[in-house]
Amino acid sequence: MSEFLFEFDYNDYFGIPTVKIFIDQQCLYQDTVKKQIVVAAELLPGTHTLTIEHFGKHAWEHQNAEHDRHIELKSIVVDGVDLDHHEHCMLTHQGRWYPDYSSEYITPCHWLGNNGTWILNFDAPVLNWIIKTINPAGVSPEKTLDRSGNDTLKDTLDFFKINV
Amino acid sequence: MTDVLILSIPRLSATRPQSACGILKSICNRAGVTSQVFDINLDFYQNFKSSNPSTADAIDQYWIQWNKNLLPEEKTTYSSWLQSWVEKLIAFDCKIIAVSVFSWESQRFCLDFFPLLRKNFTGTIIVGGQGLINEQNGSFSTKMHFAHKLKNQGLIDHWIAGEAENSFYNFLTGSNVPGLDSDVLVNDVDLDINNTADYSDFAIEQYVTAYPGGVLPIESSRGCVRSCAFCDIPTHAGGYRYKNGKVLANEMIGYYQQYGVRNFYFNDALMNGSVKDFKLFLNCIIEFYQQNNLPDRFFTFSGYWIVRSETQFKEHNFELLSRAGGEMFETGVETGSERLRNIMNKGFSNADLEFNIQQFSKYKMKFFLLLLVGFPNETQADFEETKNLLRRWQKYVALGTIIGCNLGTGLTVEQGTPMFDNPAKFNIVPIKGDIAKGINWTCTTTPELDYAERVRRRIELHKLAEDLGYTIWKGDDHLSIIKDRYLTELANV
Repeated sequence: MSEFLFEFDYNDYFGIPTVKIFIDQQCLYQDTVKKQIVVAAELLPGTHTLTIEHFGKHAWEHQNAEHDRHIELKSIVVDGVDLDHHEHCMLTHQGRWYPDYSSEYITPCHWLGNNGTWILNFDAPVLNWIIKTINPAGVSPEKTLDRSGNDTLKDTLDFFKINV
Repeated sequence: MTDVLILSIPRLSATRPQSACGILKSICNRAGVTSQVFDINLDFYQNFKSSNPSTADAIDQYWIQWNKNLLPEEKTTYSSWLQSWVEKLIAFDCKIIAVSVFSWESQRFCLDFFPLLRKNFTGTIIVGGQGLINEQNGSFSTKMHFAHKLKNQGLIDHWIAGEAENSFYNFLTGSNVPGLDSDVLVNDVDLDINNTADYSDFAIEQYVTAYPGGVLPIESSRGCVRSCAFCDIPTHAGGYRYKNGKVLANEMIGYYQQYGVRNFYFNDALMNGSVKDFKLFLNCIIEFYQQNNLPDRFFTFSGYWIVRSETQFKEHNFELLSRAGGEMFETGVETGSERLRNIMNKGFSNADLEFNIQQFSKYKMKFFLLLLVGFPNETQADFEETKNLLRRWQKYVALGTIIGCNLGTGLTVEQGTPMFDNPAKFNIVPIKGDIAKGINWTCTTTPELDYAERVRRRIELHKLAEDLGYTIWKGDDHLSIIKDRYLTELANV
């Protein structure tokens, strides 16, 4: 089970915005947005899609920059790891914002100012996806004296006739 | 003419200058003799390797696998490189060549290099270092067996056993030399006196490192405050001695002022043995930043760390550590099982461990995990706890806190360790012969933990760590050594 913690900010001049959160086709949250929303999902290994939908905004709910119904995505923390913790590779920047008024998407975009969907594709297990995508350790000993390669591992498995 | 040539030889990771050579040079300075350091190790891994990559890889493995031989063409290229170094050195017409033999991994190089050097050099060859006493599995022998071997073959004139700060000085100045050609290790250094190194001969920026300006080694202590069952440091390195925190900070600042280097690596077994002096060191470094209008973390330093409880090293101390420049901490976690860690006499609980990793993560420092598989009495349940630790801490890999793990070569019983001296306490008996040593042991309380099972667990952990995205360091070396050691010690049993 993976836990997703979302942090949002929003403008409530016209009332609190409404939001839906999906993983793949399953809706895990549908209500007014909160500063923090936590959902959990059982994820099979493989590719998945996270969708955040801002819905129910009317044209009159925008007067100016100060009086505008919108949601701002501040952060997504999965299993205790902020997707944006690595300053040189913020994973929410891979998310695409598809406003309903356009067939084009905007990325990176954390400002859900219209009705529309924000979509992030990711893989499960999520921590493996994060590690593989951003290499947070920032080290690669493959070409050094400190390397660990598959050839030597395979040779050792064969030599000792081990099956793990 | 240069009086003394000091050699840093393979096999070492070419990530920073070798501390011993810098210390030897400073001793020469103190004794009023001229000296020049040559880093043959760096030349191999940078120059030789770039010209002969596959041959260099073969030689690199040959140095650590006693059962491996070089192909004729590899041997020719290797000999020619060795000969070129001998010619370069003898051109200096020096009186003394001093060689630091850092570990057993340098022994095969010595056996290839010294015959050529001896043939061409009539001056004095003197050696020192742990490689004179280490055996292949890292165990200390009861005598300086490799030094005797070199001397008996006429390849060296002298060796110094143990710490050389006073002995090598006396050797150069013609005084009585403790530890000269002796089997008794000298541990007589006062770390607060005459203990700075001279790195002026090193091209510090040429070493392979991610740190701009390079990295210099530094040392806060000798010996260890703990007495882990599998470790021989307390026996062979003498009692725990440490530098005063202010002296240590001044040394680091001095290296920065002299060489412009801002990144340091503590070579000693633990940087935080004396908590009081370690805190003093951190405060002195931060005071230096403040007095010179420098930002926090102007320096970085890494090295070995022992887990302290929250009462010994509190959260504000971790904050101080980060501000001073604490960067990466190699820590002997050994196992996820607190029960087994208590048998090892490691001296910290799982709660202490979790507190430490949380603090390193919170203050954006890095952690390097050392694990030990197949300790006597390790049950399947203990092993499962180690696997669970890796699973639980995967988030710290994703957060960039854990930058790697070292799974070692499995437990070997080494001379000078509590488990070698008192095998009955750990329920250890030999598989063959009378002495449980190296991999030649089994445990009466966990008879299922035979050598095959130890290797299986080691590799299972390797696979799990890899699957979870941990960066495994030295995996190739360790797996090669496991196989080579089996061929040497147990294959015929």
